[in-house]
Amino acid sequence: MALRGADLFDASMKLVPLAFFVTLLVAPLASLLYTPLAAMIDQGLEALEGLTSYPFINRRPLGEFIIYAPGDPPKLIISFKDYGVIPNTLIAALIVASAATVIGTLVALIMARYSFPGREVLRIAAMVPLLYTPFVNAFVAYKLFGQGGILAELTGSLIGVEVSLQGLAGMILAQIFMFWPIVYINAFASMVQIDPSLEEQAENLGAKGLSLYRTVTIPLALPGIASGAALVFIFSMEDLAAPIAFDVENVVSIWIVREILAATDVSQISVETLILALMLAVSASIWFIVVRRYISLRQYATLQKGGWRGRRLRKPGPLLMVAIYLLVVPWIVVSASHQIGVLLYAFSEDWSGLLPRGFTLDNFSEVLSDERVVRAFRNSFLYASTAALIIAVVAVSSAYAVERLGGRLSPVIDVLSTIPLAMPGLAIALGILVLFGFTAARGTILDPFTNPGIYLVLAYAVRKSPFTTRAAFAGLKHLHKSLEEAAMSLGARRPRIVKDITIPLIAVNLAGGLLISFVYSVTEVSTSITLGGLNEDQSPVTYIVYDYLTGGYGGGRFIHLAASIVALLMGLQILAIAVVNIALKQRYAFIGV
Amino acid sequence: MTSVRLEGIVKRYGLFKALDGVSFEVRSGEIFTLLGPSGCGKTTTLRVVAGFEEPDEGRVYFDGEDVTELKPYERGTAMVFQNYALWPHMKVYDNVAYGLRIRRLPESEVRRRVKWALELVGLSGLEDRYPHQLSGGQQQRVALARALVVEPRVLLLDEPLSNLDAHLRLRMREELVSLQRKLGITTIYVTHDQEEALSISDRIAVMNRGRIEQIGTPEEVYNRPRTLFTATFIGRPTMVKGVISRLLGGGLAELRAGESTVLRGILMSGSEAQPGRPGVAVIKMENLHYPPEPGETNRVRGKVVVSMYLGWRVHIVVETDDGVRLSALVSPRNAPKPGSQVELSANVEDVLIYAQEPEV
Repeated sequence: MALRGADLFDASMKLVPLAFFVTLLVAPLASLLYTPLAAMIDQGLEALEGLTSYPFINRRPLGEFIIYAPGDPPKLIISFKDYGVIPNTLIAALIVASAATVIGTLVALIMARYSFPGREVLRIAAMVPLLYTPFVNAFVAYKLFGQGGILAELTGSLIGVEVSLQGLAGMILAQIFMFWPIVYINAFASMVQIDPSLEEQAENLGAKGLSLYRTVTIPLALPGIASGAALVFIFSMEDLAAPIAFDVENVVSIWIVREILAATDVSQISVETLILALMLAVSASIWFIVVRRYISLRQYATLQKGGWRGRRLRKPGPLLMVAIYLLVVPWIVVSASHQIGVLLYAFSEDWSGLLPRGFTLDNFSEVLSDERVVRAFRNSFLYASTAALIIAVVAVSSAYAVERLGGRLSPVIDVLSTIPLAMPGLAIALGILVLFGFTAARGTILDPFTNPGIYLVLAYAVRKSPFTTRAAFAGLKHLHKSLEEAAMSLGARRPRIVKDITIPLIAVNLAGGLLISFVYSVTEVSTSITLGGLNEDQSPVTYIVYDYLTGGYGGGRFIHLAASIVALLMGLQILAIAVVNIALKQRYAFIGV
Repeated sequence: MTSVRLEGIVKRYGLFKALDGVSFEVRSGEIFTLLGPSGCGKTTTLRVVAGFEEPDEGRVYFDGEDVTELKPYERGTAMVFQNYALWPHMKVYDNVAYGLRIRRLPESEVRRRVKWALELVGLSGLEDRYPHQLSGGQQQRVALARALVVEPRVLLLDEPLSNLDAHLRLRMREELVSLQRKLGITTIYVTHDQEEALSISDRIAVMNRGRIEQIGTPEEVYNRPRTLFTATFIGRPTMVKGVISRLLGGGLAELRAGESTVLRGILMSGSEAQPGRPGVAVIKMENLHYPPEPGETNRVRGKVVVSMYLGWRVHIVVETDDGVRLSALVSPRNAPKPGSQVELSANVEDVLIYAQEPEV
């Protein structure tokens, strides 16, 4: 303990984040347990029997892995068997996380250690898939690999067989393309932080090439790789876009959303749905705790003392050079093309063939003249900015409590303030609905079925606070304690020090974090399309996108209209990232446990 | 003017005991230095005085008043940090004025006193600069002005000169002493630099492993180190390990190292120093003379194995036939060549003999 004292101010710095996260994160998730527990007390394990049969577990899986349809031209459709909601979700998450980990780590290794022509362009291109493009990118994936898509057209004309993906297989490939950059960015960040002398020492002792990476680089980067892999597993389980685009019904996320949107009262939500939401929350928590423990044991990648020298980038050998240009470059191009495809949809009249046709701005003018879309944008900005105000208070108090005050509660606050990053929004949304949708609240201003706006603000504040809290943490870590102690030694009390010294000196970090929290609140999906769909007057913009893509809103041009909204959201993200990087001169950390 | 007293201060971090029963008294108006190697607990002690660390045991008194429970901002101390801790978002003027504004002094009084403090440290005219626009020495002075302007009861200096280059360090050292003499503020100074400690202090406390080894004036600590640690930490000593062969009476003893090396000197240890027990003779390099001085009875013969030119002196290492090595500083005019046989002498009073503590 550096600064001592346990006055009212100290206590409130701890109580504010604790009360916030307990009310809006712990209690909602815990309330998911209530009905299943009551049912189990009443009926014993029989209450859970529904979960062991169709559609949750399919003992006789339906469908084929590969379907060959003769015709002119013949079709080869890669599919997947339907094992039921729970196995489908877990199998897909496992495949997506494994593939994303291998690809993300290899690309990170190449980017972090090799110098080759086009590296910088590729590095930027690899960031493009991190732009969040709710739902529409998955429809682009369908355009690329689905039936009648670009892959089918190309293979049809090249080898005479139209190859395409459908169902779960398509969903898995789409998710691999969507999520591998999350492993890449975390692995890359870990790799560039490794003290060059650690690798040089190994090289000095004779390690080279793969053995160097296997024995030193990858083990030291494992914290980043593991946290990326954990996030991908969770994101895959929670994803809605790819299952919607590839028309997959039997996965946990789709199941939960359908139940919430169909319910007019909490009592209509089934025990099975509550347990599926709990499953999401529990598996996310397990991953989170494993990765956190793991990381806390491995904070040794940077140990350089004395002068820092730049890292040497190697020249790839001929074999690796071929692999980079024939495999890595096309892979990144196809990944980025999901986002580019969003823009193509947004700016075109029609994209039914190989290439889009008819450049137009009409899609934008149509959505922006639609009262419903404008209201949704207004709602989203209002919710996100109110959430940002709440986040500012929570972030400063939790970062200060953990970094400066210490004590027994600080590890608890530390975990609570970071875990929302990994916690599936669907579980939080359902939890909030169950906790606050109780009978007494119905019909009042606090009724989530008629007034979901309030809960969207709170849900955004919880889910997106880690971006600001982590920025505040980083600011406080770099702010030498002596700057605050100097003020204390001159007679200033803690509230005054926080106001005069601490906040002004971490203001840039805070501003950057808040901007990112704000933007990700505007683009938030899980709670927006569930709670936000309960009363359309209060719907946020991502719900409208969802409605375009699933509800037939917008008629035949629905993808183009949805894409133009998402293109606006992409613009907002690029602007925010540019401000954070250029104006606030902060390194923008995208995501990480 | 305030006196400071620490009584039996214990500070633990988990199982590690950073301070193990530290007690001392700082007289009002003196410069009291805590000197010791890294990790000895000197900065922790200073932070206990400032109130940043709460001791697990023991009390802190200012002028006899128990301040152990007082918060840092209630103690009236002012600290100058090793890194200066200047607030980068405030100008020099606002940095210095901060403590006065906290005390709600009228702005006219704030202006008058900031002007006084900046004049005192020779920085008038730099009020509108930001810390990053100042040199290291100027930043150091701002930190000092910020501490002095609130007229603290006790001034706490944590290695304040360690970030300056050697030249500037010497100048700032002189300025610090003259400022302290002028203002007469009770000052506790932390450093690991023995020369700095010897030159500025009224008294020095030598610390090791969370304990105080010795408190005394610079002369006492330098010339009559009470423990083997102090003797080896301060000055440039040469150490001869051997066996205490005889107690000679009159506070003297004889130490034998190998077959032929015998040294007589002042016995510094108490009852644990018995004939036959291992001991160490400590001689400051400048007290081993070549050529030997007449009247000095300790004589050691050996071969010069190392000779290093330092400019004002030549540092030679002489090895006896028994393998005992001694370091001496000799005049460049008559420095012996490497390989030559020489005889060194030392006064009995300059050889300090300690019973060797068991290896830990």
